[in-house]
Amino acid sequence: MEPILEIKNLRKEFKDFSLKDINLTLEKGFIMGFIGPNGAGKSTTIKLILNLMNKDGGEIKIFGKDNIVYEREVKNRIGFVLDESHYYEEITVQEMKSIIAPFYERWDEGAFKKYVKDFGLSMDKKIKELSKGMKMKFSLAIALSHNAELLIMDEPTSGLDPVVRSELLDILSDLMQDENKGVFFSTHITSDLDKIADYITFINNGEIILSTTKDDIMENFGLVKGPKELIRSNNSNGFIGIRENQYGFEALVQNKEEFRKLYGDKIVVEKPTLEDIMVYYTRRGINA
Amino acid sequence: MLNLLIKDILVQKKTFIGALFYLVFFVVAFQSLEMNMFTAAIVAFVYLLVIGGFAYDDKSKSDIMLNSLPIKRENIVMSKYISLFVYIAIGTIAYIAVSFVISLLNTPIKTYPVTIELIVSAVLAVSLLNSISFPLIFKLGYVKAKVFNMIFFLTFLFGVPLLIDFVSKADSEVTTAVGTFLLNQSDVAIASELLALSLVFLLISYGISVRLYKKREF
Repeated sequence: MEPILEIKNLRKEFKDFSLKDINLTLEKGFIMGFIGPNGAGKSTTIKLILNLMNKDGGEIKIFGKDNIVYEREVKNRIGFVLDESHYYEEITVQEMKSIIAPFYERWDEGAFKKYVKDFGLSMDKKIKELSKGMKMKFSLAIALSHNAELLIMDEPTSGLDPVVRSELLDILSDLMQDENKGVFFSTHITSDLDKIADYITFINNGEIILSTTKDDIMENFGLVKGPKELIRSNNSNGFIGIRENQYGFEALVQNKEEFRKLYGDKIVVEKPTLEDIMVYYTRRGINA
Repeated sequence: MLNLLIKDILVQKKTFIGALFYLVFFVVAFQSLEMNMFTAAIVAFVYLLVIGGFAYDDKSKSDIMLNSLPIKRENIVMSKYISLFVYIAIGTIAYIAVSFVISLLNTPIKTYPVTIELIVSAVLAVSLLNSISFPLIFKLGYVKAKVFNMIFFLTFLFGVPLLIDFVSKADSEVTTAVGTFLLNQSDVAIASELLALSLVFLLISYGISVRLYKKREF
């Protein structure tokens, strides 16, 4: 079976930043969280997937098809929610919908009406009168109303309150009942993904640091806490990132069982959150 | 594609009202142009709406949204070129209506009928002006292209009369030859030639715009 999204050796050069050989694969039926600090290359990657930017090398396949050669076909099967609203502010929700809908071959008016009702969107309001959360919901209603199989979201939760964010996560969980769909979800609010993501891809400074299942991360990664002497004797080997304070240290490790065997009860091993992973990996350059 | 045209009209409801007032202003203020006021009025009317459409696209960064939809970039470009003719048509109808209302008011303001020649000259002027300004807007976006377009629009506005003046005074063999060539033809032939010329301009410009817009990054 073809992966729903496959990126191979994707490159994009800018003057002061570059995406370096990005590789990732998302299978049908899963949600992939795409995490990384601001400026890590998340939006650039998404723009390349949507062909809003020209790549300098590599390959992007969606539903097994090249995203540029089969651009229209592929885009018919993608729903997108971007970090800010790019709709015309001056017109009403109804007008905006009627401009967009005919572009999709498989537009489902019934589904759209249902979402509008569920989300409490008012069709007569101008786009500029909608709150940030409502704009996101409108984007989402459009994205879900043309039988899209892949949902691409660029920081959909940024700037939203926890209530709306949690609503969005519920909708995504519902959506994933259909095992033919996939979601690619970029965010720097990693707690969103603790709940729903199956895969985590972590990008930092234009490079993929990690792309694996969330379970793998939760089972194997550990947040090790112990006295400072340990780091000196250990020479920091195997530590992904270390934070020291006057009492001891905290470090992220990729194979917590090894550390457990090695140090026994001198250390405490905790489960890291995705935020810990992101923070410690980003600190690596500073502390290693 | 029709949607894209409708979109430009929907987002510009207010601009249309403004453009209508502009037409009235033109008819009243440019009495000295006599019947040629039509061409000038249409060029300005179309310019206002075309630029307005681009400005709204830029303001809401909707190129990003449109290009994420299953639309060919060629169609986005094509719709802007076609909109020129839609605006010429709307402008012409509005101009006729405005002239009619003014003529009913019994004021000293003179109105002139719209002839085929005038429409042809308006099409030529609109095509020429926008053929040059469009590729730049498609490459840079409205805001960045704005300064260039302003300079260009003013050059066009003042340059064309100067050019005509220059050509009419110059007594070279070429101008005489062109003059004789035109004199020997029927009005219909001249009109079709000018329309063909407009079309050539638009097609070349469209080709360039598509190439530039396809390379553009958002």
